[in-house]
Amino acid sequence: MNTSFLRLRRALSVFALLAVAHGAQAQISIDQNRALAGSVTPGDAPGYPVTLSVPGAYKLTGNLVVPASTDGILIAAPNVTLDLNGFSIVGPVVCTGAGNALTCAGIKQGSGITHYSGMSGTTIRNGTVRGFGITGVGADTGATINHVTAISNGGHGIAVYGNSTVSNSMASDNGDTGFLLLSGGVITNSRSHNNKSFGVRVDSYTSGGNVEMGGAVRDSYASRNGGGGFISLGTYPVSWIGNTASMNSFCFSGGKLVRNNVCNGVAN
Amino acid sequence: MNSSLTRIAVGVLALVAIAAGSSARAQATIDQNKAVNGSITPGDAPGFPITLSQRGSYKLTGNLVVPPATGAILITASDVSIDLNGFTITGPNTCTGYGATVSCAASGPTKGIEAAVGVTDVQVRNGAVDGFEVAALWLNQRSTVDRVKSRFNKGYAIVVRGDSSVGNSVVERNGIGGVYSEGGLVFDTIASGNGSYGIVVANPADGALLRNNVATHNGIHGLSGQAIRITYMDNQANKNDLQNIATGNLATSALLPGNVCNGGPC
Repeated sequence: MNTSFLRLRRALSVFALLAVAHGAQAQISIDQNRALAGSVTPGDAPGYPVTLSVPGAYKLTGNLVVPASTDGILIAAPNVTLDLNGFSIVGPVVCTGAGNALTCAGIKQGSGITHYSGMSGTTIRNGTVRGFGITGVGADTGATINHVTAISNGGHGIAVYGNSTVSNSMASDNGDTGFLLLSGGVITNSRSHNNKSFGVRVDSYTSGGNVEMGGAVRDSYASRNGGGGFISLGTYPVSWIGNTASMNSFCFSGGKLVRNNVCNGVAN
Repeated sequence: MNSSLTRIAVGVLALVAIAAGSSARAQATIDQNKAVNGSITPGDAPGFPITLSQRGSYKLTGNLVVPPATGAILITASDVSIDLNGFTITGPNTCTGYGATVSCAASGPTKGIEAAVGVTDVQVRNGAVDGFEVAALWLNQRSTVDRVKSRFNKGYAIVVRGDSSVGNSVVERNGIGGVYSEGGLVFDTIASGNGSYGIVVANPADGALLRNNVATHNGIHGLSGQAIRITYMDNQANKNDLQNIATGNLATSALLPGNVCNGGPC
């Protein structure tokens, strides 16, 4: 073996180590090809759902087109950050119609983003999830949802468990509720339109270790939702602050109207 | 070169090829050269407007300078997200003056970023679009505009149809107005020195929430409600020529106490 060959091999070894180190530190990219190939994380089978089994940062680098009856992305680890990077996760379901007459054509299975129980601390941001049979975006406790749009899903648009925040997001034309806080939480600066059920619903889910926490919904807007604009079904009062509801079946139900809430042009 | 060396060299080339392939799958980038060359998406002819015919995410990697009588970007697919990435799209239109004295030259009926009829759910963020005749941004239902600055458009800076959101933006010195919304949210936006209106909510709006905006020195109204079910919350409107906040029929809208006009109650 000559010295040139040894030097080249040494250089390549260093290069390989750097590449591995870089891969370990960098965001993991996801696109349609990688989804179909599998192994995005250990245990991720080819095709959908893409299973994220390792905590860390993931980023879409293309749209994902998901077949019927399956989930798009399965969060299978805590503390996963998923940057949709302006792209869309798209299923085959299409919802049409107005308010409580809205209907969704397609198989009532599959969610755009879903999770195993206990996978807390998820962050999802900056993209669109549309066309799934059940929920557009679902996340466990302590989730952060920012700049996410959920459209035309057969169930809820965005559904998160306690201690979660949803901000700067939109839920529209979904077959159930636009934004569902299952155990309370915070919604700010978001809008819900033409969902079949409620625009925003805050529940008191306490099973599986979830604790009802109440919450606040601020500076948000709900219009033309079939079942009503803003509703709290929990035991702890939710604070409504600075929200506007227009042309829903009702404006506000339950919770506490703190200030600056408006129903069809009338201050509440 | 012995065979081991050859195999290693081939491996390196394969690694480079994989890296290049990975890069090709990334967010589509747009700059002046790509605009001139065309084919950014299928059907995109060389030159302007750039046609975005596929849903997805696009990012400017340089300023765009657009010649007269054409738009900058025509969007023909829904679910398109454009990150201006801090860059500016500049059209040929110019305006002089401020507020009621704004005067804009005609440059052809152009729109900076236009969503075609029926194209919805477009997002534009993080940059500037200046100098078009009809509007800098002309978007349809459920659009989102965030952190956009726009000046020197002969018509409006930002036009959005129902259920849209405009936030954290600055619109100034446009011939007619800053923001024209047919319903949704307009928040944390500054509209100043526009020829007629700072922020307009117009029919067929189902309602709107205008929150925490600042509208000053516009030629007619700061905030102009031309539809019903509008909430005005925590806005500040100063020194607009005719009226700071024109609510239209207040029986169908709500002017909340937190609004401030010329330093006092509105």
